[in-house]
Amino acid sequence: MIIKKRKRMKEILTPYAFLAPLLIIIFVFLAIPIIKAAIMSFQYWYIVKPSDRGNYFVGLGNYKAVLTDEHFYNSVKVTLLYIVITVSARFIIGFLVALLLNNKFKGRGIARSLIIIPWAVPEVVACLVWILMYDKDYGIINYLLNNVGILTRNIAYLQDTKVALPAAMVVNIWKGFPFVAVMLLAGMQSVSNDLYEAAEMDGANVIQKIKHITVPSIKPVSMIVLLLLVVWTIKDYAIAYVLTKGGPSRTTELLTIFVQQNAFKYFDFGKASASGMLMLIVSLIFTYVYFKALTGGEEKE
Amino acid sequence: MRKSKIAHWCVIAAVIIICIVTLFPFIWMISTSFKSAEEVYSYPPTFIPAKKTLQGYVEILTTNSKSFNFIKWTLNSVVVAVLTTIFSMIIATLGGYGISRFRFKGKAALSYVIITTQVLPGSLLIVPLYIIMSQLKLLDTLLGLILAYATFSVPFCTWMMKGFFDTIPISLDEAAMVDGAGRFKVYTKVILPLTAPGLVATCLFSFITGWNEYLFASTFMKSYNNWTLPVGIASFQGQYTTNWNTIMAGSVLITIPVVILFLLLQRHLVSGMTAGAVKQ
Repeated sequence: MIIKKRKRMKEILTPYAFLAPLLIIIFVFLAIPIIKAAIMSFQYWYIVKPSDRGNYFVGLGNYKAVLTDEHFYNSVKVTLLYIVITVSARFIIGFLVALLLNNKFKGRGIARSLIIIPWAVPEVVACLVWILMYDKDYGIINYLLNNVGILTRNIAYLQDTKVALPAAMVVNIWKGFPFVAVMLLAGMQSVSNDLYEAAEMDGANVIQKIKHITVPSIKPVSMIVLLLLVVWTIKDYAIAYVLTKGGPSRTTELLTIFVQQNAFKYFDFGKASASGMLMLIVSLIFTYVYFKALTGGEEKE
Repeated sequence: MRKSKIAHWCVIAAVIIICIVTLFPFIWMISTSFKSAEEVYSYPPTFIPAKKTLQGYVEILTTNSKSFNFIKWTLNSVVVAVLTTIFSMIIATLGGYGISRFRFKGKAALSYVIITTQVLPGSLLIVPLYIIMSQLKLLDTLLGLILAYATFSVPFCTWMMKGFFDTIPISLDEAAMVDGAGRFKVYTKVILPLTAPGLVATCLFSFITGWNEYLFASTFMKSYNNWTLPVGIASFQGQYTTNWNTIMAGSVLITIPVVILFLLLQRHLVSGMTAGAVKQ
């Protein structure tokens, strides 16, 4: 009886033995910092002017400071534009490239490998290369565009308030579309060839085949890819920061940069935490959708 | 038949154009890295360096000043990326196996938490982590950075490993247990070896993330000596703006290992990322 009981205990405890390190890490490295951020968002944390009362509670003061800060709304606007445009552009370009690579031709493997390269290039390096290419006086982009007759004068892409954000988006799209292409291509290749052959027998043309076979086949993976793109873009920091430091005139100041600058440039950790918490709430809503999409996909199996 | 042949060539032409456009910045980086400091500023820009020189490479590898030590930064990056990977993988393989194989209370909640970490903005975590690290005197240390990376590396690796464990039939575990092996033995002797490709993929993915990370490294690391490669190379811009050939030489050196890893890994990367979503 005792042995049986012991065996049962062991059965119950085994899962937790495997999970314990993970749970500890999640608690120590995620739960504690998030709780701390949540508390800080209600406290006085202006490092430059420490108060004699320490980090006292200011109620909703930090949130009020964020929500009355016009730069916050600027950042929300910039972030939304950045997400909508880069996510759709990365997705559409990635989809078209995947469609191309889904054809049989010599050198397809090589082409697929080459396309991956921007994804592999470290973000900081990508930014440096583009800074060089975007340069007003000796940049290759001005040279090429002038030569084809698109431009008549040189543009300072990263210093011009009208052009800086689109220029940063181009870098993001260039770096991000390969991920989409590779993922969608994997989805497309899970469709058996017989399906396409059967459709051909029935006289379907290319567009019809794409519409009725390819698109439905990549629907589950597209859901995941799109949501990943959105949540990753919300977090995106390095590209806009290294390229432009959020400038000129805050035209590329994404929310992540807004939060980081409030903390480490203006040293208001309270306000930074409050804006970070607002970001977290938005991200959580997206996570919920993401999770639903993941589990929804699994239930269908 | 003829029509399809034309279509075939159109596809190839389109692919070639896309490859050229996509690779252009990469090629431009390599080309610039072999230019002389003067040629970088020539206009019109030269596609192939007129005078190929290793000047940039020599400069980046040999300069050793107070604010510039590429070799030290490389060592830092290797240490941080390798230790982050080892630390994360020990926890992630155990946890991934646990989530994949057992039914337990709070499984759905745990999965939700793990996925949530994918979307946690680094800029939210960075403020409390900065204060915690400074209280623990871990600011501006490699250990502090490694621990900070664990916040996103552990959950991500766990999720990937869970996906790989899911592809191995549970009947294998059961068969081994019928033969008298304990759970832990089944895990180390039977299942882990079977996921070898998945293990490699997850390790390399974690390594690359640590190698490329910029936000935490640039905020936590104050002294030049503790910088990682991305922070170091980003600091050139502005400071050493005149030496684009040197910056590009450094960029090539940072990028080449990652590109090679990606090319070796590509098949596993996709299966790892889609494991939870699209099962074959």
